[in-house]
Amino acid sequence: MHARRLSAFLVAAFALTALGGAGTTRAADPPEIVIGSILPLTGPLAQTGAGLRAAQELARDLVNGHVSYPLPMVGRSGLPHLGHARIKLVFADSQAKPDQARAAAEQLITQDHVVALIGTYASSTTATASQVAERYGIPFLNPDSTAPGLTARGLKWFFRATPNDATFADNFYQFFAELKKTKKIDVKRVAIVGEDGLFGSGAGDAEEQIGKKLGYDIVTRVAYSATTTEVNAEVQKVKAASPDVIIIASYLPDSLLYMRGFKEQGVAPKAILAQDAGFIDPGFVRTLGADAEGVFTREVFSLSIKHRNQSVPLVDQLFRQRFGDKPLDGNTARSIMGVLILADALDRAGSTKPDAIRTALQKTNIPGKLTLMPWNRVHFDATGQNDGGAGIIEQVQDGKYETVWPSDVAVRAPIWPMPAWKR
Amino acid sequence: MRAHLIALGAIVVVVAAAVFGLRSAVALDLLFTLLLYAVLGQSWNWISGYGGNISFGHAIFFGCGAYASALCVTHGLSPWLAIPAGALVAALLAIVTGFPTLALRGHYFSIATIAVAALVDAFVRTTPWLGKATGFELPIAPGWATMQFPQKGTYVALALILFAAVQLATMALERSRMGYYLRALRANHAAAAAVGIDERRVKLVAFAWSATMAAVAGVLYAQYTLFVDPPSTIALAISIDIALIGVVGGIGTLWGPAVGALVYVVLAKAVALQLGGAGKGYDLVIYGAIICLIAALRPYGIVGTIVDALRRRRGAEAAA
Repeated sequence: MHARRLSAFLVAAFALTALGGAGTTRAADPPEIVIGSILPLTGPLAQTGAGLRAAQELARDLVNGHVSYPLPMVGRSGLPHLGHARIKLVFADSQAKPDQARAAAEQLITQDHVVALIGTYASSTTATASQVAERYGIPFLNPDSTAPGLTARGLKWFFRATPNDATFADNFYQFFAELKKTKKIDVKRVAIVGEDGLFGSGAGDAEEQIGKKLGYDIVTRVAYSATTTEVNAEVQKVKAASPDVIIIASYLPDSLLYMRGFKEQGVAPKAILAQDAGFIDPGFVRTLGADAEGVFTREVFSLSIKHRNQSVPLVDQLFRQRFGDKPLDGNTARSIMGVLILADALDRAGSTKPDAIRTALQKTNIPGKLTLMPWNRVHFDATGQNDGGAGIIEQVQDGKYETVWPSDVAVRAPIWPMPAWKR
Repeated sequence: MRAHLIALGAIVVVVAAAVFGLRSAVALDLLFTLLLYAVLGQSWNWISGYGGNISFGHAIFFGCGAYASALCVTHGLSPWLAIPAGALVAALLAIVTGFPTLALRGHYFSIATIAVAALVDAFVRTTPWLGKATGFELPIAPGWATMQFPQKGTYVALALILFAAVQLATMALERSRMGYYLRALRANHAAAAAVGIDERRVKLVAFAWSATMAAVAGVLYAQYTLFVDPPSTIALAISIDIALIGVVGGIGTLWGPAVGALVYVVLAKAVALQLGGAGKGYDLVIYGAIICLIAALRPYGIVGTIVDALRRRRGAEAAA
């Protein structure tokens, strides 16, 4: 009994000294700056959300650490102009629902007193969360939502780093212009196909508007439901319009239906250009085999960007270590950039006052070579959109996605026209 | 009746006190969601609980209100106008779709409601003046005329008024001729028709009122989130949530929807918090399993089980 009491006393004494020790080291630590991150951590997008969270945590550790890479604010042991303050991320769940994202933003601002918000992946949740930030006057950095309308709302506290769907549509036409200049290839008749959800209709609207403005002949526009099980009528409509190129936005099952439909009905455009999604799913090439050859798709990121910034493979490796050996992709790379852009603005602001951070964000000017992305630069225009954003175009060549545009990150020349259907 | 009124009064007093006392935006948000779902559950309960026609498309009426609100605001009108406008459109939609379908028995009616909801969803997604798939984002403009309030408590107060009104209306329904007709039709439609109850008329009226309540909730929701798009207002998932609340709480009971909403909000939040971070969607699986268990073991829902237990006890006392 006596011995037990003694050991209890010893344990208590040990715990007290340990606590005291922890207290003293904490006091010596540099201050922390709290950033709120809203992500779909549960619900239908939970898997994507987990990757984005791992990416943002990696970015946080890169900023707080001392190993230097050719990336903004990486390896300077926190934020030098704020007494080497370390950044801290507090996560809140959007469940991929607009009303939950709104509640999450409110929680982070009013309870966690974050100095800025970052998130939220899905365009609909970004719309509501950024409105809350606007009400409270807190800077909101969006790394990855591409609905063009988000920066057309006149918000003062909203900044979007990623190019939006209009930019991606524009990239296709830039690609055509370059083909004309370098290879005398003429593209005139454009068919636009897209599922009728937020993704496909938004992309289709942008492709149609920009195409018409540049003088292309939009020969048909097909909208269909992504849950459809057959697309024969739609394929016929495309065939009847005899387009030079088809620009298409589909998820995986419907992308397969269209590719098979084009082959069966002998639709033979010079090229099929896709808005990623189904067309970059691993199942696409696996299922179609040789029939996938020659398909172009836009992408936001590729590991071939290592030709511009050598830190891409290093960051990819660090990310793999943390996230079950999954490679860095367009979503996770953009999330890393989001944290770095915010850290860069915080450091230049030299203050955690919302107005100072906002002014610093407005003055952001990061050269494209210092990013993980194919962007020209990071610079926000008056609407808060990064006006230096750009995408890349890949083509399926020998069963692999090879970057073919823009030329400074391209690893192969584009094959044009695409090969004939194999019987 | 008196006990119900006292219970409702107590809820109103407690929530009203919370509105004045609570400073936490998160707690108020939870309270608002709870009241909104309770109203939606009760709206569903009118046609599906008391009337026995299980609807799996109730979100379209909720959507009527939300879209009416969005359209009013984007056309420079006050969203208060959306309450009568949205309710009217919802009631008309209920009458037009209910006229041919309400006579369908059992699951055939449910299938018809799913089909109608899918049609409405497809229509909205492809109609430019309804915002297509993108939906509407409402501009921030606080004020009573614009039904936007800087204090969350005001929204909770409005939701509380709506909830109280809907509960009072349901109490009145339970004691009214129409309430008895509805329950008689649910128990045995042939016998009810034999004593002269006009099934179509009674059910159409109940369906129209049910749609009206959901539409008013839709207006409030739109003004609260300031964002209206198909997945968050008219999608099948929302319809199923509404039906779940009705079923879990107790079908055809006055307090069932409120209890169902409480279970739904608390359970969804708790499961998401406990298991969400894993990023594998386990939270949805477990949440679904709990709902399945309740439905399988307690088919009359929570309130139904309690009422049943009370009756049995009373019966035992009477026998003794």
